[in-house]
Amino acid sequence: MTNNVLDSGLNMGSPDIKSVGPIAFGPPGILFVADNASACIFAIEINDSGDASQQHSVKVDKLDTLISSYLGCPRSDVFIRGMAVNPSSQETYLSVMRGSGDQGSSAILKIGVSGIISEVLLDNVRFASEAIDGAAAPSDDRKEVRLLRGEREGEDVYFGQNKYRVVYDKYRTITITDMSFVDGALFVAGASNEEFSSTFRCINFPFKGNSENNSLEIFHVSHGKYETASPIRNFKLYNNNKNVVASYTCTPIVNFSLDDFTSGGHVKGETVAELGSGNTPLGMVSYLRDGEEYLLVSNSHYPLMKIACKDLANQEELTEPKTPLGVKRENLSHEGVLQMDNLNGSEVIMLQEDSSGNFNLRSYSTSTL
Amino acid sequence: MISKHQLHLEWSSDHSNILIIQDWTEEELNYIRGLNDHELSCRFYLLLSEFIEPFLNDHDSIQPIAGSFRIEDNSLKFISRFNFMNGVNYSFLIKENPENHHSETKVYSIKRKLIKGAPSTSILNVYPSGSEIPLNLLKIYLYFSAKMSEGFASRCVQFRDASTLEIIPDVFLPMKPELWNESRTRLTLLLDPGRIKRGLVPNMEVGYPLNEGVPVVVTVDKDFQDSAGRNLVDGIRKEFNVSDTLRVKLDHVLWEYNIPSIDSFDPISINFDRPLDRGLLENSLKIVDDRGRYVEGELFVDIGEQSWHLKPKYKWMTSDYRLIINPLLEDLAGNSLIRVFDRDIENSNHDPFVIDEVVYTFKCVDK
Repeated sequence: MTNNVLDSGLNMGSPDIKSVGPIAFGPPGILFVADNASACIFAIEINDSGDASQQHSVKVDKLDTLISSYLGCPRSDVFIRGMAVNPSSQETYLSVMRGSGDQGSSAILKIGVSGIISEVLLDNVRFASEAIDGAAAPSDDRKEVRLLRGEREGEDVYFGQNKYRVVYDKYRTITITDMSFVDGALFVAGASNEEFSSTFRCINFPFKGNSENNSLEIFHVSHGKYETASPIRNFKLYNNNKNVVASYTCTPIVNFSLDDFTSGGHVKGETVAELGSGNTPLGMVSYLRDGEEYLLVSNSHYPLMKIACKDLANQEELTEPKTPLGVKRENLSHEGVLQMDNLNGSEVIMLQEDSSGNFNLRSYSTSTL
Repeated sequence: MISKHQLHLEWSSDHSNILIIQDWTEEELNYIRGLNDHELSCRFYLLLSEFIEPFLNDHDSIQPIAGSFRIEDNSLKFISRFNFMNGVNYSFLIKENPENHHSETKVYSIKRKLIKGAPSTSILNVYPSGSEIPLNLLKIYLYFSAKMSEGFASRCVQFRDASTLEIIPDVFLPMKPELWNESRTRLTLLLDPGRIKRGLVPNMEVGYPLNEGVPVVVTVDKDFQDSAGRNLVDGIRKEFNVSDTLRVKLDHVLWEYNIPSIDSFDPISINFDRPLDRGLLENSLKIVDDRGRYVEGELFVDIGEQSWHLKPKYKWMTSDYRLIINPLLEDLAGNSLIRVFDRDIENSNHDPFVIDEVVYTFKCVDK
């Protein structure tokens, strides 16, 4: 692992993460953390001593209460933004915002098997960062000026005899909605707060700066009639990483070929399923069962859905907009699934909200899914 | 060791993550000084007051607040990993015997004051600023006078029927996290694109979020909190008429250009054929001279986002100026210079094209 890290362009320091978003594990020992406030991705070296050879189940009740106690803030001020399992240790990591406004702060927490919480300390760690906002609009240098009190941030500007402490803020930002690391590249989906389009990027790791970013404009075609560029909410690579299946905020499930991505520019995906109205896809995970690859999609207003990846590949593009539409799927009974990841080869971990509003962490054997 | 008398708890005035526990006897202080970090953490705990009972009943499930104890200046200090939160009750616990979960526990509590002060943040603008929006309106922007808190958008911003003021449900796309600019002074709210795009199930099942010809009001409640946790000075209401859908590419040839005179500080003005997206308009139009230098100056966008002006910092020269238009510039329904928001594949007028920039060349006129 040490050699890997040495080659990863990481430097010692304390990453200044303003607001945590999705997280994902990359090469052994590297955790990617999306910072949505600064449209930046941090790669952080994680020293995790867990043993991945031991397969264990996870059952932690009232996780949000436990986190609230650990962080010393009311439960209503705990916002879980991302979840990822370290494949090297099978430890579950969460990115958490604690409070909002001036009192808000962020933390990366590790959840032990028995629910013991520890914080990943970010002082004097090896890390690297990559800004992602510039890739979509290189000419966008727009910033607004904000006057500050104190000298903790910003720079001095003189107007006549008067000195002001100012900071230049960006208007345009990218909110990262999902990340996935595959074969030396970090795939990143996001939504812009200005233009309504897909901002899907492929960033090489070790980071080399924005010039290496491959920014793709992705369209989805609905029913062979209408084509739109739209933000991707979640995505997974499948079929030996040759395909991408993505869920959109407007609920289509769309299939892309990764071969198209390398050409850049206009990438077209086929809508293979529609989940229906009043719904937001929340999470996605793929897993193997009896040698077959399956996909789970969790939803804000529909049950957890299971889709066989071979059905995805064989699904013809939708042409008739009627519900339920598209690729065959099975509804599973798992309640209130918010986030998912692979715990190990034989279990999937889910963060679930029960009917009383408690967040529970559970792992399920893939043989039952 | 357990204190038989009253201890005094006090927040540090310098650090919002430090609690000071005072009034120990000399004997107690000497005892505490003899404890190592682990022993300190087994005897003293800081908790949210609401968790005292579950903590005492099931010691293993509830962890105390992350942080450490340290003796300094005859006081025991708890240095929390995170700042204490205003308006929250905290409790300091001393266990008589850390080995025995049922041993006596002494509890001292303190509340962190809720400092709010009078509201001072207001809503500067709601965009679109005109009075008419297309049925397939894609987004609205709210500009605030100061940094805001996240998490209030979905409950404090509504589209309402203009005559009954009843809330029109499910208009906005729930976004977590919300779409703010870096300083959290501008919020972008997307209308549910599934209901706007033709051919998608939400559009087929429940239709557009708004109705053509039925006036609506956007309301922002004053409960929307700023970053200090204060309400806004006042809420806002803005009424719109809803017109037909808009699905035509932007075309800069249709715009009206008012070219300034040479050797003047006159602004260059562009009148668009329709209102454009306020957020994108701020940086999608740039002017360069024949040597490739950007023309600096003050930008103005008129109410209604249908005209744009640049008042130059220096006088216009005899030059071939180029107006460079970002092809991603959109109208209120997300149509840009290169594509219609949800293009009809069979309509050749909707065919997209790829281009880095659109250029309009002009020469300033003699006076």
